[in-house]
Amino acid sequence: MLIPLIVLSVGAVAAGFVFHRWFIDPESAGEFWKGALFFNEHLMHEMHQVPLLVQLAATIVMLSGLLIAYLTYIRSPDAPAKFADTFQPLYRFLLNKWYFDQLYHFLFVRPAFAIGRLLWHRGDEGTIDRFGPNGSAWLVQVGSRAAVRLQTGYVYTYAFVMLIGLTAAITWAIAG
Amino acid sequence: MSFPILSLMLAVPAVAAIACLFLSAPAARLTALAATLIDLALGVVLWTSFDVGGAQWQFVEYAPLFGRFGWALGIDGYALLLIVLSVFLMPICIGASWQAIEKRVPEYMAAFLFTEVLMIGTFAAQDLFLFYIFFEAGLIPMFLIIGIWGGANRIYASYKFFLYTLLGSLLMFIAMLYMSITAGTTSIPALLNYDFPASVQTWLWLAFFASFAVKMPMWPVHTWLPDAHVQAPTAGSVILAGVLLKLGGYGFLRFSLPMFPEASASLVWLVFGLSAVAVIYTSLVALVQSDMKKLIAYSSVAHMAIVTIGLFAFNAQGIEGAMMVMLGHGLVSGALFLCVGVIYDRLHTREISRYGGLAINMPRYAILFLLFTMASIGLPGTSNFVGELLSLMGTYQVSTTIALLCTTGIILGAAYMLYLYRRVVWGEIKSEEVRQMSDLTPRELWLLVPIAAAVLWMGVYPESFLAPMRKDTQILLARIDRAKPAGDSLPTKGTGIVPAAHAETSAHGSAH
Amino acid sequence: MDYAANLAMTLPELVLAVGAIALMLVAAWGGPASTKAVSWASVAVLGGALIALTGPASAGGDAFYGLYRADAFAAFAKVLIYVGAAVAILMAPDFFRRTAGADLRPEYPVLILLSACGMGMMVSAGDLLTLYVGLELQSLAAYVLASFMRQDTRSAEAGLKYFVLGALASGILLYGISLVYGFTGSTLFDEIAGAYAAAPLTGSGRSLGLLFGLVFVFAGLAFKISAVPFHMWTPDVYEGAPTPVTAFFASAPKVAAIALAVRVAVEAMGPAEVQWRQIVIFASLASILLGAVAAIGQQNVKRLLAYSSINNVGFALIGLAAGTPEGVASVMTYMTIYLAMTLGSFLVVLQMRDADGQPIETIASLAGLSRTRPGLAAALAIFMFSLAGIPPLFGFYAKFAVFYAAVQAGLFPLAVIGVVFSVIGAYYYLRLVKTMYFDEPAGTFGAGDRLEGGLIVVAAVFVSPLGYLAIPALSAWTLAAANSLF
Repeated sequence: MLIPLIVLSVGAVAAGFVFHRWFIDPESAGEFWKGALFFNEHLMHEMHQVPLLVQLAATIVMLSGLLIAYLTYIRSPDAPAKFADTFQPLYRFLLNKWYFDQLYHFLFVRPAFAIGRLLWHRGDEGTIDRFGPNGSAWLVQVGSRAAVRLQTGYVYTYAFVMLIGLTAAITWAIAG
Repeated sequence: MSFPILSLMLAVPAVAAIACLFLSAPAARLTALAATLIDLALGVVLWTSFDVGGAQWQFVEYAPLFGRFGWALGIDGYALLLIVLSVFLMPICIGASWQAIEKRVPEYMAAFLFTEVLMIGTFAAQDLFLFYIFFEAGLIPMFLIIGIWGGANRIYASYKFFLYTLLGSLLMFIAMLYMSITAGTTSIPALLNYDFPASVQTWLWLAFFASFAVKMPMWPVHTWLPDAHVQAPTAGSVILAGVLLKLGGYGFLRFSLPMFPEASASLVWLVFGLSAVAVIYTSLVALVQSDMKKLIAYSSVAHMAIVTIGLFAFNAQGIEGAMMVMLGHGLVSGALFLCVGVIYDRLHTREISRYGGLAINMPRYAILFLLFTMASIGLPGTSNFVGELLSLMGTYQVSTTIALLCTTGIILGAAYMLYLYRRVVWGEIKSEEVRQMSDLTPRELWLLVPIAAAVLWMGVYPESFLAPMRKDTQILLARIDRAKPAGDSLPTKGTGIVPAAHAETSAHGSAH
Repeated sequence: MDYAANLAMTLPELVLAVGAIALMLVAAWGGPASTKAVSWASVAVLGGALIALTGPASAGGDAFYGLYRADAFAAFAKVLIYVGAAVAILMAPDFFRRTAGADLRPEYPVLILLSACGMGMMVSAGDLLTLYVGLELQSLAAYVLASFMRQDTRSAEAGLKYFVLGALASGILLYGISLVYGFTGSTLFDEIAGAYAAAPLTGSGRSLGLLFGLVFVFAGLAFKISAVPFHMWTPDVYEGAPTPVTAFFASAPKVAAIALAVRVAVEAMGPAEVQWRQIVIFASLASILLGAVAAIGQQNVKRLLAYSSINNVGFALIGLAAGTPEGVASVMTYMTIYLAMTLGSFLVVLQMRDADGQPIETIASLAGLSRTRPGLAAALAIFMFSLAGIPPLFGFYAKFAVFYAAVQAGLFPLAVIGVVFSVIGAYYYLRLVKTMYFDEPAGTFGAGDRLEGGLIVVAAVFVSPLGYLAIPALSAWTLAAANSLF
């Protein structure tokens, strides 16, 4: 594991020196990107004009991080635990990543699942299928039972239906 | 007339199908595999000899066999790609059924070969009624496949599939009759240039919509799909998701848009509205499924909605993107169903909760499943990314709102697919049964690796697939441009983006 | 026109009548032993009638002063009728031989010949009286055939019901005929058409007598084609009658009655098209719907096929409603394909026998047929998908033709409602396929007769996609037949 880390650290330190001419240098980087990225040369020039403190901001943060790491992991390894004990709420807050996961779970995940279940059971099954295919099938079955019941097997029923049909047709002819 | 390669592609599986019925199970398997591989080879020949940028219709065949309509075949770029997709997936389907299907093998193989005939026929048909016959006849073998070799609730699913789609298609049939009588021809190329009055177009469009929306399927007529997928055998699901769903999109592309441009334009709101609802609705429903196949089935509905918005964007990006989504989804969802089939064959359950930790004992499976999961989400470098990006770009030009709504579907897609993957593949091994499961066999690798290669090919070099359809898209756009709806995105030239040379003199100079 | 020319035009009926009488004598002297010989002789007579059709009988024009028409339409219908009748004779011996308590007697083929003769008169009628005589000859033979298994109470009941209701329908028809005669002064179709063209049929001054006559005549004919609401006899008679007889009822007489209805509608009452079209449309949609809905509740195959025939008549009537030559041609196309599908289905039903050879009629007994008798199951599946009108089977083209005619005539609502109803019909056809293919086997059927097997194959091939190759010829014939009416 050590060797890859060494290689990576070399890159981390040296990459900027090697590539800055192509990537950010206002004179030549525009040529390199050729519009693939929006490269604002004007802004790149302005970059050199910012106050020194801003330019060193990253370095300062890095050094203070280094210092804290040295103090808490090498100098006195029990310091983190003490810190955590002292600032319980803050520690928990940070440990749980600002409770963002819980917040997301509450705001997005749970509602999404609830809505999904609702749409599935109430929407697909309860509405679309119930009134669509299953409803039509039910309607047809009801009609089928009625039609079968009408078929009594008695000649007089059949004759009656025929005469009703005839009468209806004649009425239609008179009315029309 | 040149060599009738399309008829040959139809004849090979048809003859093999009939032969299968009279063979024993092992012989039927081999016959089916041989026939589908021959068709795959013919498909490759078809693709390589297709003249990209040449005539719109190629490999044309015509024989006035049936009185009112004829045996008219011919393909353009769209049809070519979908035929290639079909013949590519078919040998994989046969391979996937090699061991999973144990009962009534000859009939099974025959049903699949007939399905192949009908799929190729649908894409190649150049006659309105020939198209309808192929389109509709596909119901019969699929009905049998679901009903005979399906799961526990197969009978309900097969009826639902059959009657649902039949009802939609019949309305289209009446519209087709009207068109052929009014225009005096049944030739699709001729009808593509026939202008129906705008008032009639709306009715015809709606009739076609009834059919294709069910086939697609679009919300709210999608409910047959989850049932059909869940009950169908693995290969049945593959072919259903891989090719049969594409019939709807193909229909919109071939009929609705070019034949009824005005109606298409005036009903864009309907398509967009239903698609936007579908993307969000079905993605949310997919999220809560506990059955793997049902989850993928619902995700198919969401993906197909991306197809419909792209098609009705009335611009090249949208239409080409829609085609790419169709092809990509055909591969990816097919592969996902195969992935489900692989573990179903071992544990005989599709319940997600029964699985877990497959990465530990099935590493090769985990890798391929991961690839297809990522492709389904639309990760750059995979087929679906190209299609979804183009499709959404095209839609954005017409309606920013719809594009926004549909993009959330991609996020939800990532949610349900990753959630599925996490539960099945990661974590601890759930049970002793799961621990017993062995990694992919060479046969299964042979099924999944070609699809994986195709998915990456489409993602890395989509030009191979975009080139054959580019000219067709231009022809289509020239046809429908007159009805193109106004977009609301109002793209303006960015003021900040200035050529480097120009910036040198202006911005640079003024700053100093 | 001399008598010889007139007789030449009616040659098919003469062949049938003389043949039937001669065979009747053979039967009377020969007794039951002559059954086989008489059956084959009857088929030969039907073949002779078919050959006789090629002469003046198919293109001679009017015979006997317009009472009888020897035109292409009649000839086409007669071909279908003779084929249906011949198959009904051929499928009988095996059924009666195996069924306990039923013997085939030589009267069976003779009655079918007489019935065919009557049907020939029906489809050739140029006059209301020819129509009635032909219809009654056909019907009387049919009543006897329905109760041919005398010992079987169901068969006897079927015959009796058919007779009583048929008499009622004949009464209605005859009453209509008398009204028409009374208000037009003629029974000849041509003159009736002239009277309908001249009389006012709409508005306040319209001739109610003519309209009543029209309604009654159509009601009488609707009984014969078993269109709703005159269909009630069909399921009971079809279920009770011996299966070969049912097959016969569902095929030849249906073709004849439809052809007759077409001829009356077009030739006699063509000018009143607007008036009868409403009746036809109603009967059509009602038949499609009721045929489909009621069939779903059935457990008996023959009953199911009875409702199926009601359903199919509804579709055929869509072509008639169009009222155009294309519409009439589509009706004939429909009936041609329907004939093959129906005869094929009944031939399969004939194969349904238990281990003792006794006929079984429950749908449940078909369970798992695809495992025990794959060929038979495939044939029935082909017939069922075809009856449902699913491409690529030939039954689709039948529906294609009638809907084409309806759309061409501008009857969009009829076409749309018709196709929507056809989805309901598809459900019960699928049910048979489901029973045969999805369910576990419930038992097997005994081996079938060679001849019947051959007929099933012929019907299945005709109904299969190969049938599409027959479309150009079929279109030409049906259109020629239809044009002879206009």
